[in-house]
Amino acid sequence: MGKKLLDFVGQGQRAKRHSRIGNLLYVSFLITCLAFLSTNSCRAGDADDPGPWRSISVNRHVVQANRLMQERRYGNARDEYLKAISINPGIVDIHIGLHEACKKYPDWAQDLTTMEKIFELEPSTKKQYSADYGVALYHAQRYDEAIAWLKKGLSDMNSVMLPSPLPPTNKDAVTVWKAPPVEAPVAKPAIAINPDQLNTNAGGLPTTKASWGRQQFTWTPIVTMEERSKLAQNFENACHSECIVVAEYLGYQKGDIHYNHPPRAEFRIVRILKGPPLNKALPLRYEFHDHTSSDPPAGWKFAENMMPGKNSQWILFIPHAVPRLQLFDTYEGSYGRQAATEENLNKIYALLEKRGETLH
Amino acid sequence: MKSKLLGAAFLMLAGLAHPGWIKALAADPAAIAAKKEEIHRCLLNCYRETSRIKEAESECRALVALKPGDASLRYLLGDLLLKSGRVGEAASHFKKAVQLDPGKGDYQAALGSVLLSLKDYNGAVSAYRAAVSAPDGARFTAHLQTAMTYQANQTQTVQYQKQKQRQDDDE
Repeated sequence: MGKKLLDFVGQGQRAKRHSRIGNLLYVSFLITCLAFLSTNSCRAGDADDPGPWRSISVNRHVVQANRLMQERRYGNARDEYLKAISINPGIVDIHIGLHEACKKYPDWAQDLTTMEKIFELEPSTKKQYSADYGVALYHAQRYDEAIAWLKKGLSDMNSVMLPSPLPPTNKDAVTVWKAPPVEAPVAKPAIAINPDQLNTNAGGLPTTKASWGRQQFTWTPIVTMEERSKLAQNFENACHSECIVVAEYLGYQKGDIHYNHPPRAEFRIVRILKGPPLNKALPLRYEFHDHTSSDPPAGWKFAENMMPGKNSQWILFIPHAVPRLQLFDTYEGSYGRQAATEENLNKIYALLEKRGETLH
Repeated sequence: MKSKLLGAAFLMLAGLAHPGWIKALAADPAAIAAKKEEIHRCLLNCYRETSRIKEAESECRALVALKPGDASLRYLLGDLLLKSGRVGEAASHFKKAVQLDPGKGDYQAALGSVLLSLKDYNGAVSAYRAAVSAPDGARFTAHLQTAMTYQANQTQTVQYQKQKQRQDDDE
């Protein structure tokens, strides 16, 4: 009897345990399905669904724009976002989507306007988008402002994790990013705009989906001859020449003279400021351009008056104190011939003195 | 009650395990690196546009640290160093660029130009030869000729000095 009773109790406990596990599995299955459906319903974008924007037309444009973004048709996506914004300009997430589209298309002018609007609508996003704004400013050739914002963006990179670049589909889908325990260096911009004074929310945590893209920035770092010349043309660099002399212009050799086929000019060395004791007679390749561009100006034709006045004195920067095809070259073409004025001479002497290269 | 709590925990886990959510929560290190690179490149270009060579150089160094195998960055760094008159350092970066991408005529020519300034005419000639043999290298022929002129001049000077030394010794 006692054994039967015990068996009965045991069966009851097993049955109870089984029903408990069944309930648990059933409820977990239900909730997983709900979670799955709720996530996907945000993306589905039913045509007549007012969506999180509470407007059928806005939602339709946003859904269409998101679809175009996925198809990488960024120009069309931008237009769709713009249509949505024209209906309701106050939704920050749509502006963020527009920013993404502009960045990828790219349309930097529109991107700048969009980012300014985002900052206006939600100042707390400044921390997240400082780098993006800097990039847009760089493309708009506003370099000084761009530097400050990019520096700010770089320092913020250490305190804010990169959010997902998905375009916004649901206003309610807010993701909070955890900041790693790293002290961000303080950026000190040198110009009027001070991103350090920007408003950020408590703890520096962004509150909406951000859109830092993952695409590689296409850029070729090859320095062209023109760029190099543009940056190299100053006395500080010119003074690295092997030889610097003050010379008197005597005349030039007539013949086939073109913009890129300069004549042989005869100079006579008056004074050597730096370099070896060269022969007084100095045959020079008299270039007409300073290497920033080898294309002649429209209608360029050689004329006598392009040459200097006879017996005028010039400072000549000669990078290599060895003639090339019997003629000496000057530093950066025509830049290497500077008028021997008191001011220029003073500058050169100061530079040579600083480097301990004066002869006297 | 206990089973309900367990179920809730399981459900929460199930909810969080949704792939979309995981994607949103995870910060991709590759994306961070790409973003950093983009920022440094923009800063570098900004400094170059405003002729701030020193700042451009430090940005370029940051980029080289991010991408040490990028020959174009080494070349650019060498160029910036050259502009600030640090020819020796520039030469080492040009050499590295040439090692990383030997087929690029521009890198070989830049190395040749620097070696010419350092009066290493033999090195300059071999660099320019490599530049000329590169696919786009015909434009460096004149540079090669110049380097060869310098090289011949140097050889002649050395021979003359040896001859003179010999004569002095004989006397």
